[in-house]
Amino acid sequence: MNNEMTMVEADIWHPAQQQQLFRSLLDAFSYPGRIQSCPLQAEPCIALLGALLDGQTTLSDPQDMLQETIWPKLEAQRVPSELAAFVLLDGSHAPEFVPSLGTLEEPEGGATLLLRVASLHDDDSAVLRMRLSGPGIRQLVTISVNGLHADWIVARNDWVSSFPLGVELVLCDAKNFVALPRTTRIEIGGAA
Amino acid sequence: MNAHYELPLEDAGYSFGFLDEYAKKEVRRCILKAISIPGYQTPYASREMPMGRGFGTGGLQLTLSLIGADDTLKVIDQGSDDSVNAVNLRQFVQLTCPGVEVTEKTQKATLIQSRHRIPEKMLTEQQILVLQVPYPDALVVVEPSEARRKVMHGEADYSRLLVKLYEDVVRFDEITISHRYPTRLNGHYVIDPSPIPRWDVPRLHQSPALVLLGAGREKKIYAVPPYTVAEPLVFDDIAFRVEDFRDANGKRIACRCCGSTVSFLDELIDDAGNVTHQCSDSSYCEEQQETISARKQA
Repeated sequence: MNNEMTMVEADIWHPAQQQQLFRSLLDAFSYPGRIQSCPLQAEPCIALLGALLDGQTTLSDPQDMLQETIWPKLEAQRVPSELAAFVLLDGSHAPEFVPSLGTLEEPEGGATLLLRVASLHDDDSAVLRMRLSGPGIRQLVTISVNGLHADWIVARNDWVSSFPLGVELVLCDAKNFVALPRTTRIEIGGAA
Repeated sequence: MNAHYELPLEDAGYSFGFLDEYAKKEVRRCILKAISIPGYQTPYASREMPMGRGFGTGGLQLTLSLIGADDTLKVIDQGSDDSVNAVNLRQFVQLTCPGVEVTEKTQKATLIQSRHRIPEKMLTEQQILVLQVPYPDALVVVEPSEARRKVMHGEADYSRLLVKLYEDVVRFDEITISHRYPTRLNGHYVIDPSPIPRWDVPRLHQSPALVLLGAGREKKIYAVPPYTVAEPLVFDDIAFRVEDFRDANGKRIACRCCGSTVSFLDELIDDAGNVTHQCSDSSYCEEQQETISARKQA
């Protein structure tokens, strides 16, 4: 199964829209596991890239999910997935590389992975259930996802095991997104 | 700032929020990493602002990167909305962010930029607190080299800081740090929580609101995410304690204006040498006074 992206484009390049989207993303990072609906009428993962990237950053798109016409607008430098600060991926395929995890002195070098999934649910109704705890989460939160290969979470839990090293995950479906920073503890299975 | 000052209008003018979009994007990316690694001082390219470093440029760059036309902003300096630093920063934001509302009421604000205090009123999940930071690194008192401090932070090695606290206990029988009390986040990084009094430190623990800290001169951004463990650095047998506002008879001193006995007080000495106390948080104090006068009328 592939998580296809639709190419609706609201004005994701407008600064005021980007500010609005950033505040939603800020809420997503502040309160991991809270599913945010994208405030713009656009494919969330592309809108998020548009709001965050510029010529100073690196991006990798190993599965060619982005149209070529988008790249010049993002301005980001194209680098291999192992080195990129941002990686755009189809969540239905198992991970095939180890992203940048940062270093002990500079953990901010850890990558942000944007995974396109089929759907996000704030209950346990979808295939892959996750129980979340950690900073930003007052009580245990359960979310579930369709179209995400479970190996992503297994690999991610390994990548974040020696804090402060790690990666951030942002899961996006067609309308919503949720952030899973490296401090979030993810248990697969959750409350069934 | 001169009240009649206007920004020079060049061909393109200034963008909303004064900073250009590239600057904002960089700050925003740093904020996300700062939240993901609680307490880690994320380096960023602090921009030149039209005011001196040390006047809150770090906090201001955070505020300008976050703010949108639908935000309501409150700016405070040592608890007061009316002091020079707060007034100037507020005017600057009003000048460069058309449409943004400003308020003095803590509960009405969506974004609060503060110098050296956390508002008395409990913040909510709908609010973001931005603190201005002069010295971001708690380890600077024990290690001059930033390269070595970065290793110590990464390894969560704070033994030398604890020795410093221990020396205080040996010499003075208590830890003598009055403000900027080193605070450990999520069991790893120790932060300098900016020069807030000890009184405010417990409010970082499990705060419903996001707290962002920006040091403009030192070019660092760090964060206390919501619902995160924030523990002041202490020893098992020496408890952390906040400021004591009891008089010689052991009675809690009340604010001279509103009579509150639960707020953080400023000590004022008049020309005659009399000592009085007043709430440091002016918005809280005014609200208490309004409540009292409303009760009297009823």
